[in-house]
Amino acid sequence: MLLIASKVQRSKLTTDFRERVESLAAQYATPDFNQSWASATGRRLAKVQVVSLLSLLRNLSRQLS
Amino acid sequence: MDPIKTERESLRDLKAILAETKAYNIKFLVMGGWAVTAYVRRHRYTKDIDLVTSKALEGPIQGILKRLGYDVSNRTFGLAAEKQKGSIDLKVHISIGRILDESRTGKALAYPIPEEAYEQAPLLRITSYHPECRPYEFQVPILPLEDLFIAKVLPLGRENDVLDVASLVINRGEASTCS
Repeated sequence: MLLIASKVQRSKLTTDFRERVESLAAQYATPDFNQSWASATGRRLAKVQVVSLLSLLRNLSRQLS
Repeated sequence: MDPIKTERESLRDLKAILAETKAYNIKFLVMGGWAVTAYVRRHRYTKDIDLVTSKALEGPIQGILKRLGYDVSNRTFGLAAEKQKGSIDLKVHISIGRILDESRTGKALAYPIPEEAYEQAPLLRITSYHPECRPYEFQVPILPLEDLFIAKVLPLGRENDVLDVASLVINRGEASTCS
């Protein structure tokens, strides 16, 4: 996570990137996302996977603040 | 479109592009959907070829793509190529020096790929979605995980990128660079 944050900062894309991470996290928190996931991969995400996904993205967003 | 034939042709073409460009000492990194299949095995069907290179040697690359049956055009990000052959429909995008996201109207974002990425790139096996294509899998230099993650997060409104970011986080989130 630190390496990603450092590379983003070096590229001067910090604000745009942080906004995208937050927008993706909001999208992943909706039930529609699990339906898209199931349709593309033939599997459904477990609740714990969604929680882990959101947690990692929110941590990354904090690193970039 | 026949997805199995298309996936097989994409793997063959990618292998041919990488083999033929060796003679010109051009270093490529695979990015896009094929790169995701290297980090997250067989997570979804992908077909188009996305590459980044540090050298602007459009001439030799164009010649190779044309020999493989592609129509080639110059774009802001580098080269775009397209091939339609019967039930096969393939696209190749070659970015030069940076990944350019043009999904925001009037505001393109550029993510430069540093020279060190070519040195640090892992050599990984790209994996096919269809079992029939497994004999055509091979190892290629892949865009480092954190650069791929950044490249996949940037575009707006592309459903496959949204799925790829989730796959990378869920499957590789504990890898040292993502955790």
